Amino acid sequence: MRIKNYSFVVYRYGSLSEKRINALFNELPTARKERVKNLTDNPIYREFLIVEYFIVIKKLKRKNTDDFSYNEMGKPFFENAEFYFSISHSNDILIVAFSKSNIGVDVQYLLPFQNEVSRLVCNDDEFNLIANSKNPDLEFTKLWTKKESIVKFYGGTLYQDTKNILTNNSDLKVFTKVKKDYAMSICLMR
Amino acid sequence: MEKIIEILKRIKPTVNFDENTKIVDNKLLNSFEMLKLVNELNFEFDIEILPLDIIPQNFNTPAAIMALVEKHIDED
Repeated sequence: MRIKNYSFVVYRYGSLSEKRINALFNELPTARKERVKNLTDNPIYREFLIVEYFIVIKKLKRKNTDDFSYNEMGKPFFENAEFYFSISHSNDILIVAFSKSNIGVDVQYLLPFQNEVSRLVCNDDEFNLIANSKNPDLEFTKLWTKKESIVKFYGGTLYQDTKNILTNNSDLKVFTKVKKDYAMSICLMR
Repeated sequence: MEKIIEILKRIKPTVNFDENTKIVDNKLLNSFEMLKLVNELNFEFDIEILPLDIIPQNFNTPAAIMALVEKHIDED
């Protein structure tokens, strides 16, 4: 696999048949199977976990997957891989981003720009800029994915002090793309 | 407990929450929904949940969330 700076794969997994999902499940390594097996309350996440694994191994052209694991933050990785990857999903859209160096990705369906919750995400400057923009929902969603991609770059946890994550960090570069009602950001080392 | 379930259902109407529903293990809430949950808990119970409180064991079930809320109410 040749990756210059980064590449990514977008996949819509909601259209997969149950038969196909079950067939993929049977091919998973044991660690992955155990994680997926217990997901009874969230079938869409179960499908997401199954599909992301196959995208990653296909893209990395890996034959031996015994070193597939999760770090302490729950981020999946291959211990002996020469490439980094990051994964995000929103509804049934799955994005896997790859790079030779560390990478973080986030995708998000359009979020509402609401006073109370948005105040927890934005600092004052960001809040005012978005509130006065032509499309506050879209601008807010873009900012959210930028901040989340930075969180994913370092290793995500359940909750971050999102308000204090600055997207103009001089050590990092963040690219944002918008397609239909989804925004996506990729974070890389500058 | 009813109030916690009500808040969770408001944030995620598609899930049938009960007191033992595994929220974190099953990734039932995304990052943004977690933020909304913390915001609503703070508002409804007049408490201040700190970033340090937001660890999987405090949010994995509605019962665990209730215990966290009660701890904050007792402290105030």
